[in-house]
Amino acid sequence: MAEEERFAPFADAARARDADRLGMLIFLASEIMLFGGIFAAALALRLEHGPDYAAAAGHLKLWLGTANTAILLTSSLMAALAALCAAASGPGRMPYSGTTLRILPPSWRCMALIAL
Amino acid sequence: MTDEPRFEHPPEEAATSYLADGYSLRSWFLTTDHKRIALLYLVSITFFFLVGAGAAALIRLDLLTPQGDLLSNDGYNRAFSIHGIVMVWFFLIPAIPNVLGNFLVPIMIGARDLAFPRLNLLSWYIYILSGLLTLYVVVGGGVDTGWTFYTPLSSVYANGAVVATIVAVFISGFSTILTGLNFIVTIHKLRAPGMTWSRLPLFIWSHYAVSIIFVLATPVLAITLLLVAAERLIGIGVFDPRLGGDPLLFQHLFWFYSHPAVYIMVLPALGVVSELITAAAHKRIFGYWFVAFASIAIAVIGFMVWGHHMFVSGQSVYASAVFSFLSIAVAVPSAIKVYNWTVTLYKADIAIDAPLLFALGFIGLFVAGGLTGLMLAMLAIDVHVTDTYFVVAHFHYIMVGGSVTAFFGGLHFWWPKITGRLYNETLARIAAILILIGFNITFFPQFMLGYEGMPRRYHVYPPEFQVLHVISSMGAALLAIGYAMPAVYLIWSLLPGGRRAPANPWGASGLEWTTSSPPPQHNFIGQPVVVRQPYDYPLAHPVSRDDG
Repeated sequence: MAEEERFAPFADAARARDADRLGMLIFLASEIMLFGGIFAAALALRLEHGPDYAAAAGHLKLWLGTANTAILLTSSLMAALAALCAAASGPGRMPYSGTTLRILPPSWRCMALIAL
Repeated sequence: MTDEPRFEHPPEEAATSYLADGYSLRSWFLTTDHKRIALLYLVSITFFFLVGAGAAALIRLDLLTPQGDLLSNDGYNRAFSIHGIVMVWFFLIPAIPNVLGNFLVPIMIGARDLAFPRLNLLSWYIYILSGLLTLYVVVGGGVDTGWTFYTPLSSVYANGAVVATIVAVFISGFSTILTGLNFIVTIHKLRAPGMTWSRLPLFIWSHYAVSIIFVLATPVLAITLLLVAAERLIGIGVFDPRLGGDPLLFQHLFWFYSHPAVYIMVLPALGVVSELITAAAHKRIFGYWFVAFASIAIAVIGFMVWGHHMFVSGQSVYASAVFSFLSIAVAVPSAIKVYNWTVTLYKADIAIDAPLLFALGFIGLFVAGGLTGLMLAMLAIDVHVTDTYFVVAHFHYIMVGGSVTAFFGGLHFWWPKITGRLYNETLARIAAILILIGFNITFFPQFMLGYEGMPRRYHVYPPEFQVLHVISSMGAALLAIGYAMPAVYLIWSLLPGGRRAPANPWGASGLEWTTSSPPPQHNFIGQPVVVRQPYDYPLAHPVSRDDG
């Protein structure tokens, strides 16, 4: 593949990376609007119909919400750690090979180390 | 002054056009070429236009008699719901951005493709997926909520495939979000050397404005409709008062998207018309920055006017007054555009070709739709005509008279560039005039109907309204002929032996006219460098249409 084709339609890697970053920021902005809709709905109901809102909240199961939150936060943590490790190790390299965590596959080893 | 070349770029070599670059199905359905994806969109939106138009034909036939003899009450509700849903989400919103925008945005800024070509193809597949779901709704039960999905009708009482429709609209939203994202990044990061922000064509400015709305408004609609589906399916009380919800909340969330959606439909049209007017006048546009920033102003103010759909909903009168003021304020940037187009044409050497006829028709219909919009923005008048045919006529003047006319104008203007063929100019002029006349006969009587009290979404009406309804239906038949004509002569131009288009058949400025018709696979041979202002007429090397 010719050098100028690698980053097509961009001229070089730096510009392609710039564009990726901008695209991701715009995507996040649209996600904020998406979830902003739910938060706005919850806020409006809370402000406009306080007693009903409080009564409805009584039907919620505390353990379900807690478990849900814990799972969500853990999955975010794993994704963030995976990104860190991918950046640190790169393809084909074995990071942290001198540790006692040798039995784990490299990606897990990296994530375990950072988490500890 | 006109001796120097307009654009410095390497001389044309013989290059394969993007159309000749592979003929297999695979080369079309797995393409990442923005030009081919634009054509995929053109075929698919034309199909959905036919679906929506079929529903409109049923509606107009049913309204010929005061008793509504053709359709049942339920059948009529389904016909206008499908008409609205298909026309808004599957034709009008993607029409100009995804066909003309997809084809032209990279070429106009001197790029070889959109920033994320595979994302572009993905957004077409998402559109097709949601379209197939909508077709399933049309055949399998229909939906009777109207395109607005008002609660509690949609979440509690409506029959039919409400959830399937909501999921279809939800999915199609992601197609437009990805397109908007792609356009913004492309316009920021892929402009050719020398293509500064002050040299961007106005078509690009309006697509930039519309992309902002795509990215920021569409997600709100998506989540709102998902909440309706959640309430309908598993009884989560958001909009149903019996479950502690608030039905008006839906209207706020819905119109927060759907009023900007009107500008999604009309902003690209404004960009198209700016190009058509300057090309026909052979003059630099009057007040470039005013026209450019009017697009941005419409997009920004458009986020703050949703309450004017809710003047009779019982919202606070002070809120209504503010929404009324802001809605009237939108008229300012819109009027700036109309004045600037008019001044651009003033004392110009005008070439009266079909694209200009469409553009002039657009201006007239857009002004009529805009002025009646001002009436609807005023509290007292709006209360009188809320939910009547006056509103129906108003938004058809903007969405059909405005957007569809501009889409046809743009299609005629760039057809030689897209296909490399010239169509029959005489037939095109007749079609443009026929569409203008047919449109006015169809929708002007609806202003009168509405002002006299004919409510929208009723198919049984008092006999005194029949004359105006019959005139409107006859106009619709004329309009249908006008819309069918381009389908015939444009396809005719593609047959073997059709006249070949030169690179610049209109003698227009702009990067897209410096490359061959149809453009090569990567749009340009080498990287174009821009050295002049936009719309720098008279051109250094104008080519008349007869040279082809």
